[in-house]
Amino acid sequence: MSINVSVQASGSQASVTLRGVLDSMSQATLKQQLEPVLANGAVTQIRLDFAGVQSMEAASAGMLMMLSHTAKSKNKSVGIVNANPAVLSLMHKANLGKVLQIQ
Amino acid sequence: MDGMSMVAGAEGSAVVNDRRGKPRPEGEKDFSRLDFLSSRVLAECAVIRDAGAKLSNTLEGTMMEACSLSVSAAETSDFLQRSQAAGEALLASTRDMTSLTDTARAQAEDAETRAAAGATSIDALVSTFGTIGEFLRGINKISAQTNLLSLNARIEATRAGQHGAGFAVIAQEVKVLAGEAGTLSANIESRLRDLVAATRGVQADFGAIVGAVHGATATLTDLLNRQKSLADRIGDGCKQTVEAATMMAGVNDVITRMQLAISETGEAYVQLTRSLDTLTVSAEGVVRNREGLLTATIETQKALT
Repeated sequence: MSINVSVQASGSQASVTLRGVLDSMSQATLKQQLEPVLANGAVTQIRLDFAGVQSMEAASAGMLMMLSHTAKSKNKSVGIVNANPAVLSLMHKANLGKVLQIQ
Repeated sequence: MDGMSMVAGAEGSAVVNDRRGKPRPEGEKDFSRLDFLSSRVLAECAVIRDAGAKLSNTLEGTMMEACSLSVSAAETSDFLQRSQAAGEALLASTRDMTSLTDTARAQAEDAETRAAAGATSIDALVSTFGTIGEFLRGINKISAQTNLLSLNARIEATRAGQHGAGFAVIAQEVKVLAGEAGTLSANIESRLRDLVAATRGVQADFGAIVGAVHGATATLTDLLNRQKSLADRIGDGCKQTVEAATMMAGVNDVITRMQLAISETGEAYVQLTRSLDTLTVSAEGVVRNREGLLTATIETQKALT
């Protein structure tokens, strides 16, 4: 199953809404959609809205972790919001909460 | 100064040789060495950049694996904690069962003791019945002797004639009473035999009960020992689960450190990329400014000589 990614940048904040399943197949789509956001110098905060994410693979947490470091190297912060309990649990088990803000 | 060497001329002035060692005409500029070095630096930068990109991909892959491992370890820890809780509940339940079995075993032992005492009492009862039987046989004997005595009395009464007529009636009554006493005694003896037979049956049943209760006691004792052994094994299992959970916590720590190391390597990669960018720009700047640099070098050499 694929993932739909929509990006809305407003000033220093970019809101990225995800919908679907985040797995090894859909990671490339997310990375591709985030490249312009990471390259945008005006953006300092990236907010990933996981409300529409039904499930995610553990390996995808690694991708998000590296994404967070890439963003940090570009002086941007990454936060995750509205993840469902199962996804949230998996994120914490993967130690994702130690490198980026999860709400 | 590998590509450019100086030799002292006849007039003492410095003559600059080219890369092949031949004297370079005065005023001609040598860019080949600088070009070579600059292009070498740029080529090495490209190689490092490619290697860095591969390293970045490897780091991301490793981070993904580390996260998968972290989730597996966390889930294993959860499973171990649940197993530990279930094991402890099972251990408590087994200990309760062991306690109940121990109580049942004690009760069975008590029942066995009481049944054995009952069997002993029945033995005594049968013995008493035997004594009563002997008494009855004594009564029968007295009855028979009384009957014989009444016969003798009637003979003597007949012999006495008219004067013994009343005595003969009494002797007849004594005979009847002796007969009735004998009949009653025989009936009692018959009933006593039935009672003895029934009591023997009860005694046999009691023996079977004693045997069954003894078997039950042995079974309960065996069950008790097995439950204790099971409880010990469950206890060992719980301890091992706790140890495994501790080890898994250690694995989690290692994974966390591994993730941190990958992150730090990623940050180092970013710094390396930035340095490469700077180096590339510098090398390109050198190429752009090579004429000025070379002129400065020649002027410096002239000044030195």
